[in-house]
Amino acid sequence: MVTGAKLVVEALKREGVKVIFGIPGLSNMAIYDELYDYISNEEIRHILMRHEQGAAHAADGYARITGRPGVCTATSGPGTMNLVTGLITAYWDNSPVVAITGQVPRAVIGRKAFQEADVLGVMQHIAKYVVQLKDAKEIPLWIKNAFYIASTGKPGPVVVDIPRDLLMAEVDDIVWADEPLIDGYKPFKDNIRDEDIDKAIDILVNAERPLILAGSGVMWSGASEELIKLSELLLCPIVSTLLGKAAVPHDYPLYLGVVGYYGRAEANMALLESDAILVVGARLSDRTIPTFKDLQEGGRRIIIINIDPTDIKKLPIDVDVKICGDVKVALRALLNRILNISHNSSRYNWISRIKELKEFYAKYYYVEDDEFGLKPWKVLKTIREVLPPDAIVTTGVGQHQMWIANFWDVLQPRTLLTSGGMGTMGFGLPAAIGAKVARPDKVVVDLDGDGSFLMTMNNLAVTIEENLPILVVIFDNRSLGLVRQVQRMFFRGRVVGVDFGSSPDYVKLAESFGAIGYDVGSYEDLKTAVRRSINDAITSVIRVPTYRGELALPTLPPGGSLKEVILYDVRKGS
Amino acid sequence: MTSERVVRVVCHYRDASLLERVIATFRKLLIDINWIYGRLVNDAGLYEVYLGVKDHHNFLAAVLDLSKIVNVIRVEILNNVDLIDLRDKGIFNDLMHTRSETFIVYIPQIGSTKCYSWGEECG
Ligand SMILES: Cc1ncc(C[n+]2csc(CCOP(=O)(O)OP(=O)(O)O)c2C)c(N)n1
Repeated sequence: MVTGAKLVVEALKREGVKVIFGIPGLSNMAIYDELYDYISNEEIRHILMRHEQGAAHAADGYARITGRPGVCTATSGPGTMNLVTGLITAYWDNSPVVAITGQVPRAVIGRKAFQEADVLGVMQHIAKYVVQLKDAKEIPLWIKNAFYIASTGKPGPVVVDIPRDLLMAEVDDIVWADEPLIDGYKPFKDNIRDEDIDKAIDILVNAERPLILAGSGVMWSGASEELIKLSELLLCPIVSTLLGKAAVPHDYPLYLGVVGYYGRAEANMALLESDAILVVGARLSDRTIPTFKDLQEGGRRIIIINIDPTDIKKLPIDVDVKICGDVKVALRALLNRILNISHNSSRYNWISRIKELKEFYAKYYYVEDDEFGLKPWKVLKTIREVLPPDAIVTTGVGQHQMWIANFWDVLQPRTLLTSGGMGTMGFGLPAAIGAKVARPDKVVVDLDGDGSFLMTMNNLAVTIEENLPILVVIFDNRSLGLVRQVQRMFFRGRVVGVDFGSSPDYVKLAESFGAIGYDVGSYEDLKTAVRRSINDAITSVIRVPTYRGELALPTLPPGGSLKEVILYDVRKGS
Repeated sequence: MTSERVVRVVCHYRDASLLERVIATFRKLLIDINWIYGRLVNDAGLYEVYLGVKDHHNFLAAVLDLSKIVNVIRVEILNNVDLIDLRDKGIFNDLMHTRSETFIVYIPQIGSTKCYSWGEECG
């Protein structure tokens, strides 16, 4: 006879779980009691986060790095509700997370019991799936099912809510599930048809100005190599979504950057000028394509590869070729086809035009120092020069994230984690913790805004006690910069509710957690601080003073077209 | 009056949150539901839900989303339905005496449905 709680932990172990991010409380304590032995034997590592939101982000960060589900746990009521922001962040970015939540005993469910929350009611709208268990015997099967649902099809978070009485229940005749069993669940199937591949290749080969738009699907399916190969063979430049940025090494000369709302102007222009576009693993959100007219205009031929057929069918545009399937499989099919036909893609004019666009816009971006302090693009360049190519970077949300979108060079796939779909401030530090747990051998850096950092910075303590040295760089503009920017540019300059009257001393703050703090005043200082913190292998917080009036450019007016890109600040100063 | 679209959702019941998810799929896309009825078909949890929703430019998006909800087996758009007015059949007489509305059951006609399962068109 074993308890339901033991079944939970054993089932997790059987799924290959090596680490759980969480916080215990009354309703998941039985799980912790069973975890005790697994932790002592070093079979499973527990990371005690300082807020459940952080636990979900850390599991998400772990998943984005490993491609396997990250696991978090929380107690009933407040603990589980604190997971919500983290889980919806994972859901919007298709990250596989499994959350095991304790629930109040079934006898009191629905009675407004102490620390009760309607987990099914809440989570069904913010996760890929939530199940509340009814019998302790179901535990092994539903843990297996949760991992299966989380990691197949379009990945996403799954919540397994277990009433406390089931965790305490004694179970005999245990049935371990070898296979998942879920009525009414199908991972999307590869439906890659030869005729579609032929048609796609025909369009791409015969286009004068073809373009590839890479989304996060390229990263999730590990298809960066295939993507670059195809681009090389077709002489086809690449732009990406914000999340797709993590899939394309930026030293590839035909990469133009992120397209969309806060994208690079040359990427937006290349999209507008292209006569054929291959969209790979991107759902074309409103951030990437603010108005579909831009995509449909001018008779541009459109080919889309997506694992989820509904992502293609829901688009309000005519799509010439729809390829439903895994990105890697589909790209390989395209590569096989192109290698078997003779074609002559010189595209001299198009490639020259791409170069011209890059050079033209560069002069707007790389403005050297003025009286307004360190320039974000140069700060990023300085950090990039000192970090190893495989360093993993996470971000908060705000102007700094947009600077990273435009000026951070990803050199290896899967080394940039950012909250794209949900835009969740506070993602950076806990996601960095998840990434560092997954890859302790890599340098992990959270490039954060002061506002975002302050939302989850309590987790600095975790990095110290768990020996997870992380480098935090804070763009400290003492303001909610991106909101301030929008107020200045589009709300008649009425700046309200964004400037911090008081901010912590970040050096002292870091030190109070046992980390090292740096306050840098120059690029040279910054370089030294980054080098030192990598060498010291202890969490460091580097404060980079940032001018409040600095803008994240290029941008578009709200609801604007890619044609309306704003390149420079017409009203310098704040 | 806005025209109505009728769908049948064939799904698997574990708990009543299934129905919440079906309804919420329309709600999330701002689609109003005129009527709904559903029933457990067998002891294995097979369930069918019929909904009449106001036609809307998001209708197909809702059907596609619905077709890829965990526990949903397929969604059918019933383009042609036979209407049976239960009042005519003398059913629910008490209720109908006091009200002027009819109580209508929608019977799908074979061959005039479009079906989606996990985003793919089916049978
Ligand atoms: C949790 C959350 N609350 C509010 C917002 C809205 N928001 C978007 S950007 C931003 C400002 C972010 O400030 P900071 O992290 O300091 O970054 P900065 O823009 O200054 O670089 C805010 C408040 C959000 N995205 N997430």
